[in-house]
Amino acid sequence: MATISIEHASKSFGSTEVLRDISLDVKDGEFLVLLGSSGCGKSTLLNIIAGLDPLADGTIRLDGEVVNDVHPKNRDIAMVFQSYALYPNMTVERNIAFGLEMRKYSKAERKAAVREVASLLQIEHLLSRKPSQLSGGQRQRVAMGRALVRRPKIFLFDEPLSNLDAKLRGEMRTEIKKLHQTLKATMVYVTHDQIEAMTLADRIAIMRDGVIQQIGTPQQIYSTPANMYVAGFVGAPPMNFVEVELARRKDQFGVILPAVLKGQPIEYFLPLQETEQLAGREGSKVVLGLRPEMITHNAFGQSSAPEIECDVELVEPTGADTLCLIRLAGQPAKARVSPLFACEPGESMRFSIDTSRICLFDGKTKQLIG
Amino acid sequence: MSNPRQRKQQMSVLDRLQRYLPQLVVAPPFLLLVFFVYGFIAWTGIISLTDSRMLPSFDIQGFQQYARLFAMDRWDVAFHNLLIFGSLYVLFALMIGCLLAVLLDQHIRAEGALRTIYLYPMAISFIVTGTAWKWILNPSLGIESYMQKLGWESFQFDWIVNRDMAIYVVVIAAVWQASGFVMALFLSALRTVDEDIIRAAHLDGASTTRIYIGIILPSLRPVFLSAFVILAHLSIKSFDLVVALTNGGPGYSSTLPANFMYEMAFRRNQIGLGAASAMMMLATVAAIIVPYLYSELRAKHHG
Repeated sequence: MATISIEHASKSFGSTEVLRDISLDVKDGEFLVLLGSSGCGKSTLLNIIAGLDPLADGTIRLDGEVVNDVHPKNRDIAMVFQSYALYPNMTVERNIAFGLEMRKYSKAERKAAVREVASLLQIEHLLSRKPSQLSGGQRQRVAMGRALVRRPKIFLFDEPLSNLDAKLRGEMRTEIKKLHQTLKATMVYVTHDQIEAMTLADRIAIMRDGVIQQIGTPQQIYSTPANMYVAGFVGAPPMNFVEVELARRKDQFGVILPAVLKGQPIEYFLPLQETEQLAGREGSKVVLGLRPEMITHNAFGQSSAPEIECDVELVEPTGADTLCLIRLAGQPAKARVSPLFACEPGESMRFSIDTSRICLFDGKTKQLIG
Repeated sequence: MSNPRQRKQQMSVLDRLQRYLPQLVVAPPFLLLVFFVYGFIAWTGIISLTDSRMLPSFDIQGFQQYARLFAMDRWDVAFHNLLIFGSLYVLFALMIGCLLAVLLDQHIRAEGALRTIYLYPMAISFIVTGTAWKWILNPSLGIESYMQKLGWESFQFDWIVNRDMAIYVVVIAAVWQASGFVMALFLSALRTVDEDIIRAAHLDGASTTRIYIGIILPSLRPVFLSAFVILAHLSIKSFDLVVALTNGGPGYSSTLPANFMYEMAFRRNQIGLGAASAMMMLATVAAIIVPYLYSELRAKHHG
């Protein structure tokens, strides 16, 4: 068992508030990702869990026990750092065994534990080398080995992959996920990379300016983002935001979507489900959130889906899909279509819009309203 | 407009000037260096092989001066003093400087002010240091008389006038002067240590002492080496501190080779003997610097 529970945590460095009243629960065996851009407080939160930074206000419990004043070494936590933080004067073997050495394990026990971890991570041939003789990926593995060898209750990762090149990052990501499935340990992982967060997490907590914006499964975060910040942060290319007006036409509730066809402005009407939150707001402005894949070529689109025809300004082929840059309500927006159906730039094309997955945000509060 | 051919020639003069400018700028200082440093080293080497007394002569006598040098008790004392002074000075300056740096590295208050205070002695000339410590350690003026006046009648601290202890007084003053400098060296190196390493070691269960002794200080090996080389050569060429502090006394009990060399070459009309002692000092410096340079250059070659 290893659960983490944080209640009303606050922390400031000087006059800057880094964490504001954060409450968070991590279940046993869960992989939680703290996602946010730099300076949002995610690393500070991780350090507080590790005990490396003291908590100014609030309580932190591990397995139900308050650990605010427990020294990091007694929390049974291991951490992997972005810089790997290997001990430069020790061989890989001693680096991995150092934690056990400090905990007074016998030499034979240490050796056996190191062997086991080294074979798991495939670094047996590196054991006698110094960190300076290793490549980035190898250092990364050693840093993981150092965390694994103690068999801690909780693993913390502080942007462990951001110093690796793209290919290696993908491979290590898969390995970390495999590791979590084998060990079934509680893991908290900090990153600014939304793809890492989406692929690894059981649950994601998105942070901004020391406040958690939303906690949920990757799918929840992706399909029902709590606000425009979350919606814009997750997904690549990001969600298109279009400012539109709520309206009612022929008893049908919906939004008016201005576009451009053959150089001329044109208005389309997108029918929407009228929810309680939206009722009676006709005539008011809202922000329409459309992911690129919700605007697609109409060949395979649902026949009932509304369609728009508009000019394509630019075409970006990515291989699997092609992104078409169109203009909605004066704003550039991206549509994701199959390369088979993509038109030439400057031509116009019919798109069908998946209104069932559309997000609507309040223009002022930026919160999700439907 | 000048015709194209002329312009081309002008260009080529400028081009050539540009190409040779670095050599032209570097050459004079280089020649001066070769002449005044290496030229005079060679000249001193030749003089040490002659029977020069008041004026240089070029009557080569082989190693006669060296034989005389090693037969002199005065040289023996000076060289023995160098071994005591050099080893204690380097050792204590390194230890105290390192300790101060580690203590200052704990993110304490008023760190900037303390750093300046510790570093300040380095800004003072050896003559001032020597004179000040001479007064402080003088039995009838300084600590000893002060403690006795306070009522501790039996207090004795007369090393500066004690033949056997005078050299240790030089060590005290020199360590006082150099520790701050060593501290500054170490402090700047400590600041480059990745803070995550310390955090990782804390999580691994190591105490702060253990982290410094087991991980951080070993990774500062290059700094230890630089500090050692700087202190070692400072100790070998120490001259003014002894002059100001003890003037080599009592008797010649606290002379160092540099003082010996000065005494012989410029005051006793023994230029040949002075040159021989200078060559011995050069050999001592070389014994320390050459392996250092060798390892440094080799490391660079490999890297």
